[in-house]
Amino acid sequence: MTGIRVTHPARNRMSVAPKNLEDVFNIFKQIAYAPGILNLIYQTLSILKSLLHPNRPEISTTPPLPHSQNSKMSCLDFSNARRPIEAGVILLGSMEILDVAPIDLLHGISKNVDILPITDELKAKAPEINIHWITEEGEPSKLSSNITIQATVHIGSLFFRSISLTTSN
Amino acid sequence: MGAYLPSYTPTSTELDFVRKSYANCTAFIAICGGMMAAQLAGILVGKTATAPRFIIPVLQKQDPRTTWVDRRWVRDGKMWTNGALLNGLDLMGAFMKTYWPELAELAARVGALPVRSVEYVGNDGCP
Repeated sequence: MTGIRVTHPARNRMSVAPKNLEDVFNIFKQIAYAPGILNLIYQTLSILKSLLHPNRPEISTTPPLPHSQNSKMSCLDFSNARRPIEAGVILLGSMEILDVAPIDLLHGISKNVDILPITDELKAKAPEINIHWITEEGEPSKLSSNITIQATVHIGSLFFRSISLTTSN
Repeated sequence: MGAYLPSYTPTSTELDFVRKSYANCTAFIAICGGMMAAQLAGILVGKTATAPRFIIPVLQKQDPRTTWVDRRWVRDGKMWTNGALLNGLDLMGAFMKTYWPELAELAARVGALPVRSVEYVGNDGCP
């Protein structure tokens, strides 16, 4: 090994004890590149965000928080769901319309559609389904037969808002 | 998700999203060639799945990590896959009947969803 000594920049910064809030903020700013810290910030913000927006996507994309008690967060009872089912259609490249079309069958039996000639009793059993069209950047997706679908959400936003804290149905 | 043109290769962000969606969802439906993205993402490993009929022999040879079966649609746990194109309607019909039987029956009847066996007959699905 040569005589080069590598020290973590944070160590240098932290060697002077912070005297006030501004000091803390400055230190924080300087070590914020560290992946561990970023992850902590991300998780904290995500908790806050999910508390503000309790509708969790069914297609939630990040793993459970380490301290979460919840091991069943991915199992929703579709038949008796007590919250809206979030259904996402992932659009990659140029897809075939008829391949993504079956989602419309789900839409057809959901609470969103009121035209089926069914009894009120049956209508009450209809699931609430929110349908999302997902592309990487939220850009429109060109499908077969020259049809273009405008995404309703992009992957980046789903990464951010998808932490669930509870299993609840 | 559905089939994309062979000239397209999903990005790592997209495949990562597919993986994480699968991990966190209650049901993942890959329609027709949509199973290719699922395969690329690795979520079909150790599972039973199907694909457009004419590529099943190729898949059986090239990717034996998955058990490829010759049926209109297949469910393995929370992973649902189907054969070419409109077999996706069969899959979706079965999916809806699993969770909302009365509504699905009614909608299928009123909407004229074709009712047919999950098994292919003759050279259905073959070029």
